[in-house]
Amino acid sequence: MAKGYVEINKKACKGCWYCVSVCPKKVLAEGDEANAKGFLTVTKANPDDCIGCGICALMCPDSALTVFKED
Amino acid sequence: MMKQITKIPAAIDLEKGSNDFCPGCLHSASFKIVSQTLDEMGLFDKSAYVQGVGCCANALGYIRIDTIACPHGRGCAVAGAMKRCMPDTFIMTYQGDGDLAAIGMAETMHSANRGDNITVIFVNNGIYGMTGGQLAPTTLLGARTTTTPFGRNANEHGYPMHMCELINTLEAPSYIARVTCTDPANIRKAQKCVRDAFQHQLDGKGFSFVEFISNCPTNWGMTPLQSLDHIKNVVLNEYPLGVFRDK
Repeated sequence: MAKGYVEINKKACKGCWYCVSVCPKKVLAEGDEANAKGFLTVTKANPDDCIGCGICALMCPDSALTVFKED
Repeated sequence: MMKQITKIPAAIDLEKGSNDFCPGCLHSASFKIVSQTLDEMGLFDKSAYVQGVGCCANALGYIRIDTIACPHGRGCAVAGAMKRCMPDTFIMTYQGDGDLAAIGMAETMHSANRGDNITVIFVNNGIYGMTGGQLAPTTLLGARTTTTPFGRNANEHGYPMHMCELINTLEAPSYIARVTCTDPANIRKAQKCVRDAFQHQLDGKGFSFVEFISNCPTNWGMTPLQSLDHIKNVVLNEYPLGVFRDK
């Protein structure tokens, strides 16, 4: 069971990959699915490894990520 | 039981419209830090925001905050007047380098010299982003832009303008800092500097100024991640980070 969970707002994501570069557990990965604006959006490669640190959401310029953590 | 640990700031409304900044633009990151700080300090519903001209105006599409869009470069003059008329309202300006350091130089320096009780957020990406990548006063030496295709040359185009250092020569300003948002550690430092700058205005100490070193992946011709490396390796050598004044 993962300790954390990341919710991706595909509409807001622009595919800058800042979150992918800072994720300590490599949970996030560069995706190949485009949103309505034509930007490739981020995807979750290893969702079970998420520790809910929130660094991806801190780094995301476009507020596309929301992080939940085990209480 | 999963608990939400990050929150979208009240000033950002992703449902309202589109965020028109380019992918990887740190304008969105600096505006996010500013709006998070407004939330933390409980200023969201008693603040007004002066919007400069340039790329920073792309924020108008997705923000939810009382805004006045002023003529090019006149942000500090408009904000100073607003603060005099409404002393209880929290007033900040959000301007880019073409707005604040080029056409708005006189307004900015005189506002700082008068010690207007406002907070200025200055986003410096070293280029005119919206108009297509022309030379800005803050462009680095040797940098190629559409108006300096062979690179900025000191004999012809002068040297980069250091706004924090210039304002630091004046007597009146109370808080001057230069920050960046290239990595999580610097984002935390930037949050603290913005909080301190806002506190200076709330305490009535006078002019507070925070410069964000930003990027422009589109006009620098780089990917977003390359532009962050360029900031860390090249731009920060010219523009050192730090708190220049805190009185």
